[in-house]
Amino acid sequence: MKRTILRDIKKWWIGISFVFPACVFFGILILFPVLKSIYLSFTDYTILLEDISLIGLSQYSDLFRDSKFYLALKNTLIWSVFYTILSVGIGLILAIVLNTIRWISNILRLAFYYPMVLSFVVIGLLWMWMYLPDIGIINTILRTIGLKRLAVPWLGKSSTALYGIIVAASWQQAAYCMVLYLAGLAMIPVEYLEAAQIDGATHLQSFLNIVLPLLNRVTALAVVTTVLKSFKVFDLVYIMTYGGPYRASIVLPFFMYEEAFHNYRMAYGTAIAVVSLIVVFPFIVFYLRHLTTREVSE
Amino acid sequence: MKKNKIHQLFIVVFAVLIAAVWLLPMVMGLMNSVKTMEDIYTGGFLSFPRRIAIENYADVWYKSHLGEYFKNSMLITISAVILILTLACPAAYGFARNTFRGSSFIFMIFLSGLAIPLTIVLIPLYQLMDSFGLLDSYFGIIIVEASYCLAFSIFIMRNFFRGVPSSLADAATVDGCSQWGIFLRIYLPLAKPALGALIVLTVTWIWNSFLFPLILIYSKNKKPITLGLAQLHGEHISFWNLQMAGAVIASIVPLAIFLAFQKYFARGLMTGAVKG
Repeated sequence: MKRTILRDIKKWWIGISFVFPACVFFGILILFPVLKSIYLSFTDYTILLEDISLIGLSQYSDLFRDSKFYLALKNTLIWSVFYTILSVGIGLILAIVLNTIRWISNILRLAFYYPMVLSFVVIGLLWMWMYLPDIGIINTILRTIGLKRLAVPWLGKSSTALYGIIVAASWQQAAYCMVLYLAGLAMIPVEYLEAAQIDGATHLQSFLNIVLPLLNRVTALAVVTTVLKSFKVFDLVYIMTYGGPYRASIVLPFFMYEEAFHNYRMAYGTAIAVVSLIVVFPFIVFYLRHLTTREVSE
Repeated sequence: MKKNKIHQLFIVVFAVLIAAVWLLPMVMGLMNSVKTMEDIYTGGFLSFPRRIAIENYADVWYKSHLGEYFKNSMLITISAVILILTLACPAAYGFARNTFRGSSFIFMIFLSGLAIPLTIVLIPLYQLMDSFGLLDSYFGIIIVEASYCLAFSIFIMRNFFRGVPSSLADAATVDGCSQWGIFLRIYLPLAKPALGALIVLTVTWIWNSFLFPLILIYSKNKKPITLGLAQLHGEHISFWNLQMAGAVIASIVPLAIFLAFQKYFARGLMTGAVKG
């Protein structure tokens, strides 16, 4: 009796030993901080105070009365919408184009994909130079083709700064969507399209009625992952405008960084983070469900 | 047939044009990194340099310390990736082969880590590192970067391991092989393609990481190159040529890996993606 119990324990212990180290790191450095953030959001913790006391929902009520919060939230939502539309839309177009010329698409793909391996600091700097009002490439081109009126200081104007950054971000993200769509397109049997052509459908009809619906799963994934990414944006905003001009381009992560690490209102910062998490939660659930349903069907 | 070929030609031209637009920022960066500021002022960003001002790179590497930052990034990235591999591969095996009861439950917890935004861990992480005296240390930033990549790494490797037929493991067990033996002698050697994808992705992420170093590192000599580049930008705000040289230096490693191992990038991406 005793021998088999010991053996079972040993077996279990060996089994656990595989995941134990990873669990330790993950638990201490990721899980625990998430839980502590939630806890801290109910306190009055600032880096200067020695004691922290629980103060209930005060941070949250302050937050909901803070106009900067609504500005950051609005900007983040704008970001989600435009960033996703641009990235997914351009990604789809690129995938369709490249799919038609498959023999050369492998090389051309590199041209679209390389921004994904660049750091956001680099992307930010490259686009800041392109947006320079006087000698930046964008305005120079606009002037040469006669659209002088549009040659504005893109990052210097409150109304255009956020969109300027979003365009730079989409320039990078489009390639990710493109890769997803290329894989999806590759799985569409050619026979479907040939049959449609025989039946007299135009390219557009084939596309709208056959290709697009078959790509629904890809579109869902592309949209969800892009939206999730839009809530994490920080580096680009930091380097391109630092939230300016006059806060016109602050987004939730940046707002949190400012409050926590510049104004030292750390508990307030955690409240911002918790609220951001809640806002994006449905997308997280969708994403995780997607990842696990793959397994069920395997 | 002929119509099809003309059709293809049009599309190729169109695609090449868009590709050129996509490449423009990088080409601009490269070209202007070897110009003098006078060249830029007189000719704009799209002109060719009058002479190749390679000294920009030397200036930025030595005088602006980008060389130091580059080495720091190397240290941090390589260490973190080694740590990730050491932690994630056995864990993925454990989850894939369900080596203990409750492994699927624990795996669900890891899975939730996939979508956690950085912001929610940032403040307590700062506290934690501070209380252990790990702020502004290589060790601190390395373990943080590694931990943040753990969920994804385990996910990728577990997916791969689940595809290995269990008959291999069963045969080995019959021969008296232990779990760790199966892992080290069967699963790991087979895992090279997945490892390739994992390494390529994590190296890129950690090399380009900005927010964690921003919060957790503040002494000049430990900065990774992302922070260093941001600093360079601030210090030489109107010397675009120098900044561009810095940007090129900061991008060389990820770009080189990307070009050499494109296959692995695509494979790595796909694991989070479409069915099949």
